Amino acid sequence: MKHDTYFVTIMKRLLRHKLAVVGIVIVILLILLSIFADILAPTPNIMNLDAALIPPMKEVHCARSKEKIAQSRYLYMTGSANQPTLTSSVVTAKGEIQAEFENIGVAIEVISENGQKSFVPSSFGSLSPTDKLVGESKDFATFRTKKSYKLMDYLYHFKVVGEHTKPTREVIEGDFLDMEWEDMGVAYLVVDTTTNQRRLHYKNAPDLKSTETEIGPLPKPLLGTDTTGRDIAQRLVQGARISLYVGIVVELISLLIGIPIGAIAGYFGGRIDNWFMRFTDIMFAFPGLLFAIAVMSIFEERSILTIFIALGLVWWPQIARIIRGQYISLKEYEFVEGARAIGCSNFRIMTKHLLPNTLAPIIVYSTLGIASAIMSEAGLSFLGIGIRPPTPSWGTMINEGFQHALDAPHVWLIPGFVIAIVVLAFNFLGDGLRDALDPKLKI
Amino acid sequence: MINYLIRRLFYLFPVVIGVTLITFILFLVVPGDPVRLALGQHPNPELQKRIEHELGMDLPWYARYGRFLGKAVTGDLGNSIRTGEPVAKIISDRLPATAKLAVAAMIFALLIGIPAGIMSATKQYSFWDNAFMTLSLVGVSMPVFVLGLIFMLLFVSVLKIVPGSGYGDGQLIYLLMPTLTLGTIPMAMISRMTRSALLEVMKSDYIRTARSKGLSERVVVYKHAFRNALIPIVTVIGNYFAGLFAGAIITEYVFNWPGIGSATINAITQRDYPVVMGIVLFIAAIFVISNLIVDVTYALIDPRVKLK
Repeated sequence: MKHDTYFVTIMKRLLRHKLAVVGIVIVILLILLSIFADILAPTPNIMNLDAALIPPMKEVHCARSKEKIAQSRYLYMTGSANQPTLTSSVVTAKGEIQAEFENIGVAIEVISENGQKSFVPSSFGSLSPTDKLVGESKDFATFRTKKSYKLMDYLYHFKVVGEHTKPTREVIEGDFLDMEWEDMGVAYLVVDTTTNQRRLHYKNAPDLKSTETEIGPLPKPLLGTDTTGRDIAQRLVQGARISLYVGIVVELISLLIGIPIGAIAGYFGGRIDNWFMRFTDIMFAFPGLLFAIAVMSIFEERSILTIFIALGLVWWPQIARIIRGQYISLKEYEFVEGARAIGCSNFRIMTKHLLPNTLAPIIVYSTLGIASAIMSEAGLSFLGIGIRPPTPSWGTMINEGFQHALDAPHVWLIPGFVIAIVVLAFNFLGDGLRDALDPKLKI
Repeated sequence: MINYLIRRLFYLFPVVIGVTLITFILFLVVPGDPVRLALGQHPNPELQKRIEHELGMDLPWYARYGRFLGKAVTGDLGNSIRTGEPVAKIISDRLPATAKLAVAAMIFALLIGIPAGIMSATKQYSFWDNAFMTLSLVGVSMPVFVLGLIFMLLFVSVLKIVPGSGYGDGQLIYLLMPTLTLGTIPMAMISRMTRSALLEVMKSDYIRTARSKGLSERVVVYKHAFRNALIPIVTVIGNYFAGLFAGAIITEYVFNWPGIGSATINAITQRDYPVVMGIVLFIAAIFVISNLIVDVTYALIDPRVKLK
């Protein structure tokens, strides 16, 4: 009777686990995408402001006005959205308008290129009119807080035939956003004075008149485009590479630090182990994400390297704990005694005799660890302290879609689901590997 | 019991020292001089020296650590270098919003998680069991911020129940989305834990005895099995209560919730290191204390846990 080798047995057991197979397929797909990312997605960073925020599989016809509106100011109003009435606003020395406001509606003073001034009341398309001062402003709920917002006076008009609107040129210089809008509509920049966060809102303003020229259909991207017209599908593929890279390197760093420390603590025990346990107690007192945030915050220049350091520092104690536990139980076996009897050094026993026996939990834990690292990187990038734009990372993509959370959900929804699927895949694979490698192993 | 408590508190001591030391080291390696940062481009050298002396920055690191520790013990975590406000005040101002959110999220997690877990365990492999377990698996794998944005889309855009994100002057409806967002992961963990703990207990001999005595399934599940299944559940609850504060960082950021989490992000973007470190220390302290409470509760509800 022919017996399977250990490897074949493991593979057979793994393939019986249906969810693990799903996980393997997704992980292989992810690896292939990462390897061929440059061929599949050669231009992830090319912006096309004529084609911003196009939903998946949708063709958008675009019209652009010939009349170029040079500059405009806006004043905030209270009252119903349809008939706004003016409340106070303060213009600072810098020419910025500082307004504390509780309501909705906007009026725009337009200075066209020939110097003509006009005052155009306008409402935000998605706001429902209401008589109450505290209105139903949907995505602009923050407006109703008493918090003071610094509003920048760069506001332009544009109009696009189709569902979404976009600027033709935008440059952020210092505190100001310099934009050129040839189309009609309203865009405004809100700066939260407490967080200094900038958010750009675009709204249609159909009541503005302009001479329009059709510039024809825009490309039909598979998964739509983001706020600056970059192809979401291409950015996802490039983001896969970044995520996998972060996941694997962070895991390697954790293993490199965690295995020796865990092994030494577990093998020698006693005082060394005691010190180690106190140290991990301390490390576990910091919630993982918070510690990573704190570490990231002290770096002046944030790069992918600092993410490796921050996340590696967070994860290694977990690995060390697992390895320590393994070494404590393994060192009691006869084969260790045998190795010692033939004169093996402690180092040799630890590396040649014990380490191969801990391979199963290392593999299982690494698979699960990659999932956590991918999730953490996305979290850091979402908070704006991870991968720096324009490098496409799934977390950064969601962060960029955050300003259009409600009017263009595809920008964040697609990378969000991709993260969830990849994390699930790694977890399925980890569970499957655990069952296959050692049915009794409990982590 | 008292003895056990004292011993546990004693074990806490090195952890607290370590946590403060690591926080302090992080603070030490901060690039750039915070005094220069606060004084602007062209500081008066004399003024700078005086402030540095007042802050004790001319002392060696161990002396500074001593000062830092001494002050931290009395609740003085330093001042913000942006606003000059005491860090302790920033934390106490922001704490109510975060605490409100954390408690609401935990209540949500318990109210849904435990019944879902019991239902899944008593009707194993039924439709509801599969539905709950799949949902909780997806809930755990979905990043918190994506979950938050999905709830925002659902409640603000589609259902139109909630006016929007933000604190809304404490109106309850504004609590809905952040609560669901923050509570989903603990809810999923609690339901999975309840299910597996209950399944484990249901296999034991005394449950068979209870059934053979002719007790109703209800009594068997709730009076006999659930009590013993509570032990691992309490651990998960305790761990997650500690973790909630960290999880609140992302949730508060997504919903513009004026709690400790959003204060952390503000402080980081403004490079206000004393505030960052103060908050890190505060959250770590909460974490340590919650873990202590979990261990003590553990010993209280399970007489088998030896108070060694």
